[in-house]
Amino acid sequence: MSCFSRGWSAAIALALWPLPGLAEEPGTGTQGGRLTTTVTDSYGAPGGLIDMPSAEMAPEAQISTTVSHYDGTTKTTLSFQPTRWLSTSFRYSAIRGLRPDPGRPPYDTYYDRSFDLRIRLLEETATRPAVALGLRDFVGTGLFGGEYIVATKAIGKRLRFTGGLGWGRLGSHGAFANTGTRPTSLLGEGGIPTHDRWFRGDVAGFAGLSYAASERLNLKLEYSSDGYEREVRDGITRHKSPWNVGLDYKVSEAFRLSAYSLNGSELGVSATLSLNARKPVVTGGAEAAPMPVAPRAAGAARDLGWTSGGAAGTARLRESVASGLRTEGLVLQGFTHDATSAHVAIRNPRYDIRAQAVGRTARVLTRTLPASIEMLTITQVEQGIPTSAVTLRRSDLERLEHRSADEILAAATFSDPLSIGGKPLSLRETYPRFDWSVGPFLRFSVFDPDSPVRANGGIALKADYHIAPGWRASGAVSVKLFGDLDDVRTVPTKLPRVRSNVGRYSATNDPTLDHLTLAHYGRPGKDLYSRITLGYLEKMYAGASGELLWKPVGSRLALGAEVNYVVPRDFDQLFGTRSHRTRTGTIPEVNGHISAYYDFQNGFHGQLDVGRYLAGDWGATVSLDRVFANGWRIGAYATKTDVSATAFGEGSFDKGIRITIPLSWGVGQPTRRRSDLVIRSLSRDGGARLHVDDRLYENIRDTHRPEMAKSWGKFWR
Amino acid sequence: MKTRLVRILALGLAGALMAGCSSGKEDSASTLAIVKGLFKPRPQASPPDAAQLNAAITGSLAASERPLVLLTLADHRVITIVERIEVNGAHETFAAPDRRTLTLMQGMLSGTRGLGHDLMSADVAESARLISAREDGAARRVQRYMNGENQIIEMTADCSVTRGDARRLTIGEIVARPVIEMHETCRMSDWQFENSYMVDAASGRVLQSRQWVGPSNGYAVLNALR
Repeated sequence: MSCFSRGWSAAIALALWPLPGLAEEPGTGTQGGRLTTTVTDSYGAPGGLIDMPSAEMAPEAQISTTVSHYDGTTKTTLSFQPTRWLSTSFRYSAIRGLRPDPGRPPYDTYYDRSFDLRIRLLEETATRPAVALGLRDFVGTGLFGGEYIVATKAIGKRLRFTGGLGWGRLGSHGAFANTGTRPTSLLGEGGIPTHDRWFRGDVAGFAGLSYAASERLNLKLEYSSDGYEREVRDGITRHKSPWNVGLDYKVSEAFRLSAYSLNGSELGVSATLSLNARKPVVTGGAEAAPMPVAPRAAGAARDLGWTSGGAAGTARLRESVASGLRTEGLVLQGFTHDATSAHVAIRNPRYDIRAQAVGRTARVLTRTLPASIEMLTITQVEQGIPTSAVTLRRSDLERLEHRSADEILAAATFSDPLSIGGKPLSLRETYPRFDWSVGPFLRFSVFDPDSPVRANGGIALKADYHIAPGWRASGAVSVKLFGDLDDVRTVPTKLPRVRSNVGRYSATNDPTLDHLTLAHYGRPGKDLYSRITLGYLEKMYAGASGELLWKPVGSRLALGAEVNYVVPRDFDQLFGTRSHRTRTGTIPEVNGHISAYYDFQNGFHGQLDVGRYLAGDWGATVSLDRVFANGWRIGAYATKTDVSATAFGEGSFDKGIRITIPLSWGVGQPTRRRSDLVIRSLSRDGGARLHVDDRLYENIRDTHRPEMAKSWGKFWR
Repeated sequence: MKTRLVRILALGLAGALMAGCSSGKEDSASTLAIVKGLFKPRPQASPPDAAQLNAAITGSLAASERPLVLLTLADHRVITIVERIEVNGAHETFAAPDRRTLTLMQGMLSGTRGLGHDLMSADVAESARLISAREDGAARRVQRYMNGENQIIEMTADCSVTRGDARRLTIGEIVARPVIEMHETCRMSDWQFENSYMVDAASGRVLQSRQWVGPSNGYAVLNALR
């Protein structure tokens, strides 16, 4: 058990002067000669100016959150640089004093979501500036909507000049031409790209310069082409001057502050927190060293004297392998051997980078197995089923231990454990097993028009009983201690209420049963994986869920199918269920999807799900993630079904942003814990899916060759 | 050998701050630990004085029959005695009691584990040949590290090796041994470093050295104690 006080022990007997902290990466160097900046503008996008965009980009994998504020207007922006040439931003703004459009409901503070994109068209050269094209707030209401084409040139190391042409908001002061008429009506129910407006209407020029006065201080000056027409009209601000000035101060690599004047009438401030998904706290990790390979003495491999040990000899061998693995935080689940080969199955509760688990297992085997055993097969077990086998020659391990990790990768063979001959592995010995955890929880709902963030917090108890290989009973109980999720607005709907009544499920202050399931994971055949989950599947639905996945161990493509039978649960989330009938329609009993998963191998991963959603609507979900080999993932998804935009309601269709943070990145130690964050609009009934724990693909993917090869450097770590 | 590699929870982990309890034994990372790690000031330990150091050296020599090396990592403010735990071909692996290791190939650093920003492997045979032979010459070496995505990056350095003065060296069981000082100056695209070695005049064995570990770990000073 690990509770609040474990691990203060630092047994440093001989060390006279223990390691204190570990050095950070050295100071930032060049970014490959490309025009990059970690400064953000008042819109939270990378750029050295204030309101005006530039052609600068953030370093690849940079993630920043900027909060900027001036008199009643606050913009909070999450920006991410998925590639060198693409910058993306998501913004949530609160504006006080804005008057509603005629026919819209009244409000005190207007909340608005917006998305930006910036694409670098040309890289900077000695004589040519970098050129970029951008869309600001290009989805939905387009309050900040504007398009631009912009050029930035660095002169020396300190000075950067920017000039560009803007449309929309960026063409609202000092326009000198126009390119057609810019429509103002909303497409659908919002949430749709405003393609009818792009690069239409008045065009104006803007310009600016930034100057790095020191390592920490940046000065900014710009001529703004944003006339703040609506804010001036509604009396929020006055537009006295197109000139804005500002300064930006780097408090630390992760934290910046800036202040600026706007329109000659306002003073704004902003703060930025940033990190880079490619820069973990400790590169390569600070965990303890592995056991080194124990090479065999010359000629020892021919000695077969040990094989006369019989069953007792095998049991002793098994115990010494198991004990070696325990020191590495691994669990032996199965062991067979003959005179020249051994096959071990491991459960890996520690290493998020699977190559490291396999590498450490391989070294333990070199230290424990008799010398005549040359072929070593290591099978990884996930959810009680064997998912991938890596076979290595012991002589290769001895020969390549102090060489580049690529060489041992080339010498390793990956296969489906089912296709390995010889005695079948019994995984039975480590069952049954009981795991539990208690901890606080927080559940969020964002973007309710009345309150941007709502949350419930409390305590949750989770338990898993691993009955036999592949069989698991699990449950979770939680108690709400505080929160206002029950105030989430129940919006009108034309569909059966499958999700939009989520507020009613958050109301009770009594303990709730979050899930109680019996699951079976299986291997129906080579390259095939199956899952069946029965019981109280999630907070809102009970029933049964079945899944089948095809995923060869070396394949970047996987195909899956899932069918679910659902019964809506009572709002108190105990053992009762309620009728499928709702006032707006009947919840269908059956839903399901077929799915394709593809690893593009260039840092992108895609998923397509096609099928029937909870409300009986048919459609598809497309997801695209930027994935990093250290476990970071940042992506977006969109679901479009045969529900019309009008029937769906605000936002027209379901979409969201999702972020996965591997905790190992932040603690410098291997851990399989990760933090998953989804930013999506209010729960609605169109395009809604059942939540089932531990779907197959995510459990299997990391143990297969494409994923393991990406971070194979950890094999010898 | 496992018993000698005492398992510890590494620095910064602050497992005590786990935001909850579980039956898990292998996993004590928490979000709080991340935050704590980011803002934790570097503790400043005071270095051992000469008497403490000599006592530790004498004690270690008495306690172990194996080759021992006194390791100093100035950037980390670390002085520790490491003991040889394994030999694989030309590579000898030495371990500190807190389960961090370094690997030497003919006295030249060819790997570290558990320091963070580890040197994953190094091809040092060309330099090693010149230094052991106490000869001037040019050598190419390759150093491998991991990047932030756990992929191996190679840095190739062009080095020149020069012979310096003859001296005498005393430390541990090595007493007034005649040594030749050797210098190795290396350049690669973003970095340059200068290693120096005290090589046994009789056997060509490296007895003392100051070697560059990598961009984040700086230099290590190694003293063979026997």
